[in-house]
Amino acid sequence: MNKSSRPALRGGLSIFSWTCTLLLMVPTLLKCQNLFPSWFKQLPRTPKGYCLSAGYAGRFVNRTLGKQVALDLAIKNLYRQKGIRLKFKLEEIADGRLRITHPFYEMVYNPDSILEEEKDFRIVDSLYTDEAYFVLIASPPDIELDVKKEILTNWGPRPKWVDICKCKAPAPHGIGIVSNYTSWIRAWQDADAFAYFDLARSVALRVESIHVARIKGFVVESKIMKQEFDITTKNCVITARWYDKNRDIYYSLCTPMVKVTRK
Amino acid sequence: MLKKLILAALPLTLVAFLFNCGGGRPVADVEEIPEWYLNPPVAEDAIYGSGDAVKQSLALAKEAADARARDAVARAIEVKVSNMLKNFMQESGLAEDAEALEFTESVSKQVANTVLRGCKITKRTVKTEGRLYHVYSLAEYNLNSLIQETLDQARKHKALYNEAKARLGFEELEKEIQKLEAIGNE
Repeated sequence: MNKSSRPALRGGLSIFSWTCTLLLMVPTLLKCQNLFPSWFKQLPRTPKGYCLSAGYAGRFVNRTLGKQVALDLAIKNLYRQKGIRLKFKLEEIADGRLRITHPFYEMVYNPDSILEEEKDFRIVDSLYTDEAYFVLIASPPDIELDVKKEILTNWGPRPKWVDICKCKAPAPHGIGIVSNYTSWIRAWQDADAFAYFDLARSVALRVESIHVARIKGFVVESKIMKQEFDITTKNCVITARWYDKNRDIYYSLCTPMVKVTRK
Repeated sequence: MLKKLILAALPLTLVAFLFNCGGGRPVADVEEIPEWYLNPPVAEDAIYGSGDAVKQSLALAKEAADARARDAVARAIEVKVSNMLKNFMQESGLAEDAEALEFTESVSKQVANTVLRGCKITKRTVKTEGRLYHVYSLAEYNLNSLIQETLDQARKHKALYNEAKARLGFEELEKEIQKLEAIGNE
């Protein structure tokens, strides 16, 4: 073999080996979706004035770091529950030949104070699998909760809330749907955020649009549509999640906090 | 050897490209289109609007379908329709040889500008068309909730008015007390 072709061959082999490694890793990465705590799928009900928040992280070489990342996400979700400003804008322009849809999302939360462990919240439950770390925190920390540590291996049948058409009178809720994500963590984070926006959208939404249809032998339809809101939501929480394994679709349900009287 | 490999791989790559690019966008099966999308429900106490979107991203397809459904509701609530019908008649030539040309142009313009409160997506269906996601959404705007919302706003205003009136009363009372105190001090 020519000496000059050796680096190219080596490069090709390197790319091939990397591709094989990635292909082998995909089932391993998805494996974490087969082992998770029940409270990650369905958040337990809490007495009035208390809230729960779930955090999750992927595989970390340093377990402590993985735990910290999951805890940070749980705290972030707790801030979201307390109050969050959501800004949304969607613009769509269509002129018969092309259609441009441009959505804009912004989540703003300015915490009044930094939440501290044991003072503002405490870890109620956690689960460390080979591929992921899940943590559940409660705020205020004085809550006495009997969280059943049930480890699930599958997502079960399709819940009713996924197909909203099955509910006759749907309560205020928001559903976040995402698909085709290589990272399950990123997928759940986006699904959760979309669920918040979906809930806020049903509260109040400014709709502006101009539709022009020109009929001149054939129809040429032009459209400019703008929808926007700027809302601050309070006491809204991600209460349920579901993963459609067959179609690789992630669903998150956001609802106003359930008011349960304290026993 | 390497040249032979490249020569063998080149036609295979070309064939792969041709097969990949040759397929057009799959069209939705008419029988799979939800009935409520084609014929949105009609009710006395609610307004319905349907919308759909086809995108590669499921999240964006959902957003666009929901937005179009809500836009349909907004246009049903508050719409200013201006129709312009232009008829142009042209005639050229002489007597029987004249040729008449008729152009009819219809321009329909709909402008909607409203705030929807409590407009919910009550039905949603996701279909996959090849690598694309086709989302159908049905938006419902309950007129009862609209009436309730208006009443709540009115009540809120009334409460604010009463509060302001009460505050005025207290201010007057305080003034009277101050006057009495002033007299007492004298």
